[in-house]
Amino acid sequence: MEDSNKSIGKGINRIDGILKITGKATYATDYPKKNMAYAVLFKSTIAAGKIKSIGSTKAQKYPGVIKIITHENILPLNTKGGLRGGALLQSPEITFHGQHIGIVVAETFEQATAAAHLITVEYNQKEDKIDFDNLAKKPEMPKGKELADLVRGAGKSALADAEVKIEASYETPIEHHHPMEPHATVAVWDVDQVTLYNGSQIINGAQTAAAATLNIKPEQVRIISPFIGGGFGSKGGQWANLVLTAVAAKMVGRPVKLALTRQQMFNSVGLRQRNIQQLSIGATKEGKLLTLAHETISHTAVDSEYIEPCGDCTKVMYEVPNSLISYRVVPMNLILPTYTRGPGKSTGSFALESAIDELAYTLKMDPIELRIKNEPAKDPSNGKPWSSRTTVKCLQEGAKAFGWAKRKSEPGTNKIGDDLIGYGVACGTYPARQRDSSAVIKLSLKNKLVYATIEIAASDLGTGTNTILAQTAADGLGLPVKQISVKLGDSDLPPAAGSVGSVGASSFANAVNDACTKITDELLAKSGKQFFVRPTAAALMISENIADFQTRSDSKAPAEAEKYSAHSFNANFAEVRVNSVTGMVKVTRFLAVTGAGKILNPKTARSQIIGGIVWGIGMALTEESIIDPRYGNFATRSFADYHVPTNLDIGDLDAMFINEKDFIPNKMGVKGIGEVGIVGVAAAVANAVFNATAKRVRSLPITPDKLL
Amino acid sequence: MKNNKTKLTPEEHRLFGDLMPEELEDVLHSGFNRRHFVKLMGMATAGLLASYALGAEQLFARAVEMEDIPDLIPEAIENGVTVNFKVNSTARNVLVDSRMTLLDTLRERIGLTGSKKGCDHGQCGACTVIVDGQRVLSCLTLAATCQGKSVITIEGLAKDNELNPMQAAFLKHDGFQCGFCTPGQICSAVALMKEAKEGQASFATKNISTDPKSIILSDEEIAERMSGNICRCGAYPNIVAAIKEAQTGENVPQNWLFTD
Amino acid sequence: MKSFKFSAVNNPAEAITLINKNTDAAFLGGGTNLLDLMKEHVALPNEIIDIGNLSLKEIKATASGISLGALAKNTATANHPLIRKNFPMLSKAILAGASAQIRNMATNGGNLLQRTRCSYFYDIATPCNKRNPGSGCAALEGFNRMHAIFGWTRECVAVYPSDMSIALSALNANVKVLSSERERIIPFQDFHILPGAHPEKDNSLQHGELITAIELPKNDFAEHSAYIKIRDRNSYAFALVSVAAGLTLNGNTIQAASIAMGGVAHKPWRALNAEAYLKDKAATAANFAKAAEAEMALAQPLAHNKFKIEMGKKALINALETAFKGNI
Repeated sequence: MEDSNKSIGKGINRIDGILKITGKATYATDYPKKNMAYAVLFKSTIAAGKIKSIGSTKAQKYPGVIKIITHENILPLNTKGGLRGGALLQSPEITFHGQHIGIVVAETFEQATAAAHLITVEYNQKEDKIDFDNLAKKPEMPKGKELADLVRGAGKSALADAEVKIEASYETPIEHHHPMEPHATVAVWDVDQVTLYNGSQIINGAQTAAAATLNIKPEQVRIISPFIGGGFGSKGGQWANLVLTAVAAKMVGRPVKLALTRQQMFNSVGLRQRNIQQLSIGATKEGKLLTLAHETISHTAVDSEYIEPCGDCTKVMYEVPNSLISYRVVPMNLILPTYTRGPGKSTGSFALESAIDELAYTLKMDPIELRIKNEPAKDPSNGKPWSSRTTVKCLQEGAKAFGWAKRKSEPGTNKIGDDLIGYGVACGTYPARQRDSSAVIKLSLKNKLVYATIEIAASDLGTGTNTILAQTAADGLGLPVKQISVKLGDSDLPPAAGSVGSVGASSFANAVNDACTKITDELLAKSGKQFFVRPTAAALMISENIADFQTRSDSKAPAEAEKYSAHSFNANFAEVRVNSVTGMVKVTRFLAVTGAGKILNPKTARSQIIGGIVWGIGMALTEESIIDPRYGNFATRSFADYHVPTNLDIGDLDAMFINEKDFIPNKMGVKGIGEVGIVGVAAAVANAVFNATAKRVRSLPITPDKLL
Repeated sequence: MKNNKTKLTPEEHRLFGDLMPEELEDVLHSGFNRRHFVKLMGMATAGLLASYALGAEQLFARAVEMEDIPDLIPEAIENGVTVNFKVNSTARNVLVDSRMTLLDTLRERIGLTGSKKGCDHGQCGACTVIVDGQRVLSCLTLAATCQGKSVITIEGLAKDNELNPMQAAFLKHDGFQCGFCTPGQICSAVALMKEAKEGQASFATKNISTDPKSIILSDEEIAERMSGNICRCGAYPNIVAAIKEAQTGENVPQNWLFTD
Repeated sequence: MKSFKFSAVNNPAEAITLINKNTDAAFLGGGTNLLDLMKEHVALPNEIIDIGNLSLKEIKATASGISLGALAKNTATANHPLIRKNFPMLSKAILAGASAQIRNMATNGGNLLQRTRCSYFYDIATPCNKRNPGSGCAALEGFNRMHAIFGWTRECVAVYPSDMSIALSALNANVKVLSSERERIIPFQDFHILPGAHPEKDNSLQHGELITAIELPKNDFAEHSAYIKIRDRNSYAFALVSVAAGLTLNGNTIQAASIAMGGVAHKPWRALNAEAYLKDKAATAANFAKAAEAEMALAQPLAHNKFKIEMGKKALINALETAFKGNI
């Protein structure tokens, strides 16, 4: 496993960790600028209609106010420039409650905030679409082609012939990403060039979207984002606040800082949409699946469509001759939903893996055995062979390590004092992909030591990118990690994919690895010598006494990868303790077994996995946002109402990895773990709650009132 | 004003001379401040700094000097209050708007941006600092109420280029991912050590009616007492492990399992 | 935040003189709730009088019991050996609330003055009679899962959020209040008020009055007391339902029960029916259940909080059983 000469695979500390523990890591708002002005956004208090007038006289006169920007005076912006969610102040139209309608720029944050409260707005309100419960009765066909009905065999109609049927509806609420760092930007113009300090999961994406929206060239925009205070999808696509900061800075002729408030985070940067998922499973008495239908109703925005695809896992998890995956949508006057950790797969697997668990109990069969029985030999959705599939191994190894045998198969029978104990299992998957990325390596020789600088416009939102790239370069160049520096998070660096959809590690590490190979080749050629054993780049720098050398590599996924279906897989095991008096649930133990190819750094990988588990526990037990249909606003509007898990909500979490060697998806054999880590977690917890209490909760989160 | 000429090691001197020659004088005269630090970070990262034979850790552990508070134009301050207080052992005298929180004063006026604004309403703990020995929320503290008090922030925890053991334990146990909540977590955890020593109770404490005495905290006790610090990346088990190690001084194992 | 004049005072008389000059002035103690509300533009004082320097921080034994300084911090109170030993239910209740950081900041007097956490009260874009008298109650027909099941009116269905006060209610505390004219004692039951037609008022404190101390009379149920809190997550969340209970026992017979509930009303809800039922009864599971039944029979749930009846019963029974077993 661990080759002592290699850095890859070692659980070294994060190389940027020292900055984080000393308070020196610089996030978007941590850049001091001379003459900074402070901006705050103000928002609509209706869900649909048109602004009649904005009364800003009082605010304008407020001490320290520099400028008030609304649709009446803002510079023209391209609303189709690639930012998500609209709200660019280009028209008086209102399509959701909390839409940005103006910016106050003042000398201080205190003054901008106070002045914003003096602004009065009159609206022509029109009927809004906000009552999901009613609208979901008459949903629409989605516009996206990828969301068209997918029917295999006889589809859902085969259900009629099945000996055993499970038909159940599962609901998941609106969730918010709520990274600890609220979205924020510092914008600084230098004539016609703008520098935007802004947490961005996709550096080049933020650059091109900002430029297009500002009607300028990408070269005129520089994104600086060395540290990102969490994103979870919400800092993938960028939102209006990025460009509104740039515009405000342009209009006042000073650097401007604009940070969303926590309350504004609820309706400014996307959300995970609410879903109603109908699962219909037909099986034989022996537990062979005959039909599997997964029909989802979700809401999206009125003027733009995004939904997370809840049926994705269902497409690939089980061998079943007849299936249906369908989506219906409800356009609502609400901010556009967006990618949220494990998009579709996390919520979709809650429904699928709960239904499979229900089937297991109906059949009186062990849920692990049921899953193994329906393991597909190839990808059922497209017939392609798996590059590798580890589901069965994850289940079997996990069952051993977790002590699955101790589970009581009869639900509600394991009681210790007031506590009911339950075990649950659920599986998950996420595609493994590599995206185009470029990297530059610069080598220098100083005092007989070789130093390397890696340059790549990658991002590190806590995933460990800095560290794994240093490890990759260390092995690729023959250097210790401490002689390598990694520069990322800057759009001036060679272009790269984003830290989204679990493509980051594979795309960035392969780019760096390719660059290492290339620079070694070039140094070899430069030396003009032949070697029996291929020397490292570091050795060549020394033997040839080269002061400086650099190269750039542009990497792509191997063409061969297209012929296979490549995924990360996991199996999740949860132990819960449900207090029979209070109904409060505690996840006391959790084990995630993951087959995700090569694990570059098990320390940071484990952290990502346990982070995914914590997110899944939040989904299962605490997180829910409620809209008041009368106003179109969130009745949950702060961290006091929207409960993310606390330290005490989390018990012992363990991560186990399958030592998998699958080089089909990419040369490094890296499959990605950020997304798969949450997939299946909520289902494992819900299944454990059922095992503990004999209560099947099909509507998340499982709050104490649902277990009385 | 400050009177703290910075003593640089020969390696550090060479580093600044090579990378930021135009700043060297300033560093020598008014200290290594945040602006220098940010600039240095722009040019080099941990690895490159290592080439100057100074442990990067040593440099980064070094407390940055606070910069002079920029004068605001008169209109920028309403109901001004002058506050004399200590920040990381340095006396500060700052004129603030009466509304200004301690958090914004640290971040926007004193240049100490380690403390973070996660919610600004006392619901996340990212802004936790230690005031007169107690962990408190700087977002719910008016700077005006800090007259005569002593504030310790994340920037002030390391002593003489040595990390606080809690910082080292967080690093070892990967008690963070994105790092945004980390300054608050670490300040909170450092203050927690004192609370445990004093025998303070928590909601998880059994037999609360007994007299307070110094306690070694169980995992559950640590988790309950750290629940005022939200970590959205979900580093909680690692945070608990780090605190356990810092409290006991004993090695707490890190477990990741591989199976063939 | 609206701009405000700031002054710090050094003694109670100075504080009272200052606040009497301005009906829009507010005292600032720990600030954990006031600053939050000011940032939300729910509280809009134009003057802040910082009372943090006043010496009302002492926790001491008195002839009749214990006196808690109004400005003693929640942490100091919960951990004071006198409180842990004689009023463990109070320690437990304080420690059930908020976070360590907030308890280090929050004062005892301020804890009593916490305002509701109703999200409509906080959201200035929605109607709320408590925030804006006469505008209506958005929660009545809105999202009211967290709201009252006892004593609400159509004007307000909010609940009072403090944990500490629930214990203080069960402990029959008295609130000592100073004004320019007099010092008065407000029995805890009369301190917080039900919403009636004027939910803008949470309590019977008048402008110009300063809480100086909270007095705890001696009791004989320290060993047989409990504080139970049910919430949506395991820590750092407001109560769905909480119960403070103390049992004065003679063997297995309950001489008197002292029970208060949180998360169910606009004030700490003294469970008088349960107390009356339990008086002179045997401490049995059946009697605990009947007492809980007697109390919850009067509940009037709203659209989203019917569960609080069953939850309240379970919490009451559990609190009584825990108190009976003893060893808090």
